[in-house]
Amino acid sequence: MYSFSVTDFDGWRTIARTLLQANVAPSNVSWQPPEQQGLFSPSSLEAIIDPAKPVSSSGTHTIPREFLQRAKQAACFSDIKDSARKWSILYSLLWRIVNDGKETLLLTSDPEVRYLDSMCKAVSRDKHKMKAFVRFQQVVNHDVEVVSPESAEGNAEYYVAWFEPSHAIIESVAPFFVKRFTGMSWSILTPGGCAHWDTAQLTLSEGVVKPDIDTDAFDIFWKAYYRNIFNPARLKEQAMRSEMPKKYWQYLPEATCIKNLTRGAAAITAQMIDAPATNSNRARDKSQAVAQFQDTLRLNNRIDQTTGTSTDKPR
Amino acid sequence: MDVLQKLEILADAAKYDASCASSGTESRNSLKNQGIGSTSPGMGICHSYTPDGRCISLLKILLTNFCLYECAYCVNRTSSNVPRARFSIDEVVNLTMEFYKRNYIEGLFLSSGIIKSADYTMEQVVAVARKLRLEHRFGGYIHLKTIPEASPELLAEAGLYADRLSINVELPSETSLKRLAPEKNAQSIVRSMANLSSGIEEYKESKKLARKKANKKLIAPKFSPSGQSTQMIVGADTSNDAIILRKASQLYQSFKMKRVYYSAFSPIPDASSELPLKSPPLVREHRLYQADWLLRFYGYGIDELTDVTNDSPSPGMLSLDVDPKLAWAIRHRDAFPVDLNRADFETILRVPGIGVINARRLVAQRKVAALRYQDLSKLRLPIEKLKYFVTTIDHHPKPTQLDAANFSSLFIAQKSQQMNLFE
Repeated sequence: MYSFSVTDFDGWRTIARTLLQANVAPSNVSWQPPEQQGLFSPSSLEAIIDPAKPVSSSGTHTIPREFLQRAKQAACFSDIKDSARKWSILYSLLWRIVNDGKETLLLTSDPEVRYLDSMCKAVSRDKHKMKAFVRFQQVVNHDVEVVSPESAEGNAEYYVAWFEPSHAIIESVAPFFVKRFTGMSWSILTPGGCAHWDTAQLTLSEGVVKPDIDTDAFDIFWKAYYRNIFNPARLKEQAMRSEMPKKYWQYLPEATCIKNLTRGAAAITAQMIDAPATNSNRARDKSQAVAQFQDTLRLNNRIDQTTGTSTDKPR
Repeated sequence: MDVLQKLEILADAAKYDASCASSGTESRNSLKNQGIGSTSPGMGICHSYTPDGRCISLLKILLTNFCLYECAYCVNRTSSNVPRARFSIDEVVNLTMEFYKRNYIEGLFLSSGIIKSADYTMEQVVAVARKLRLEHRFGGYIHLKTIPEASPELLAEAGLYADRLSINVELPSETSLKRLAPEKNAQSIVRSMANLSSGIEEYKESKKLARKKANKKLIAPKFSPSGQSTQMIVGADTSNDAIILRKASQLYQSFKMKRVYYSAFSPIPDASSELPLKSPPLVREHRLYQADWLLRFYGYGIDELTDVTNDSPSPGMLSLDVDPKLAWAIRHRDAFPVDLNRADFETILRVPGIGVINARRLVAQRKVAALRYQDLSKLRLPIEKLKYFVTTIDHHPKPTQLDAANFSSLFIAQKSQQMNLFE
């Protein structure tokens, strides 16, 4: 039995490649969380390769690129209960692809294929939600400790966001923010790592605990927009919650408006329905200019309909 | 009036436009010009959701809600008693940039009431987009609502800056348009949609040619890379679902619409005396979206989806109780059960509860091993609905179930049955 502890995708790939070449079956490998490396296992890679034995008959294996891409994404997955499980599933799938063919990945009801799918899905969803729910706050007198020193210098405008993704995605999601917010300086702070952009260079740093960030004065405009774009006549709270689960609300300044909007919706709707209808000639009766403007267009439209030709500007 | 008050009025005025899409445009980022903003050809991003369950992807506002038109269904019509406001061009530009920099939005959806003239109004709308793109190097998504009566030159300039252009068809028939929106001109709407469509096509073709000949100079000036869309009001006139869907499919065919949005007219603060008293049930709007999807991606015909039987209590309408795909399957029970191990892809696609992705999965998977009942639950398919309609090597539904007279009642939600009980 071989035992390994792995922290990232590249580490897993190096070991997996060697194991595969030495023809070591998944049942003979145990993948451990970083801090629990087995004491009695020959965990150095040299020990696996028996110089007397030739490497597996086919030599090097071609692995479908699709699998490597998905494995890389799954490597960001964090399973709280069993943090090393992903590495053993990935190796087992790799083993099966090499031995049974790449059709293995088509078995969508196979438990391992499904676990890979669910990992990829969870990571991709987490990335998507992070792109959506990160909220930058403009800071003026920022706490230098949370910021990489290069980021702030010489830049009047500086933006900070605090976010807690469920998986280890900060590194893979940072380029998205760089491409989107190239012209501004910002930092995204998370417990598992931070990304900083100073309009020229991306820097990654260790994770931090939740910092104190002053609220951005522009919040009031955003909240005003949120309250007014809401249609009380179509209240569907459950639909909102399923797309924007409560765990994200702490990052969203607009979330403080939800309670009042929901509570007031029924009364406002009843008021709208009960209000007497307005005479459609109200404005025309008051203003001759309005009546004239509308009459010209209405006459035009009538002519259009009888002759079937357009009377307004030709192309 | 300060900007905050204007924002309150002009956001409120914009909320009846259903579209908030920011997907399907070209790929852009701000690395090259050191500006702000990016878009991707894939899916858009919803940055928030309001308690009505709708997403917020774009800052959706009107430039002004002053309007000279008297469209009965519209909250901003001339006779409406709502408070009025007008943004300056700079105010909209600033709000867009500041919202975007805080990652609140994907971009701007700008529309406007009609003031002075169609051209004057359109010119103001275009000026906002021009300033965002040229002065602020804004690379985010821009959707401009186009005024059909505006000149083609203005539409052409709008296409340079906008990712998407739209013109609302508003109502499914010309007669209804004339009655409820007497200032709108059905022919201008058609003509402008055709103009947009040919502009979009030209730009697309030039990009194809440029790629083929490896010569970027052949690319025509940009024109609305995310295409055009439109919106129809549901329930303000007496048009049934078949008429609405027929109009929609005609729009998809003639103008290559990216989307037709359906908007059940909802209570507004100050309704017109010209409108029916009761707004349609929201589920009708939902059924229209489902049917629209089936028409475009599942190969159904309009007559297959709406109830065309003469003795039906609501001819030409979609069922409110069950979704249109299930309703079709119930009406065509003779075509079921479908053998998932033998049927072709198109037939599997017609099974209630199986979507495009899962139909593809099933077809791929059965090549490796014959499908079993267990595989269906592993794929998280809705077994309770599905079980009557399919066979696998170890599952054969009783034919008596499918033929039972009360078969359709199996699918009508418990809740509505209970409601009937107490009525």
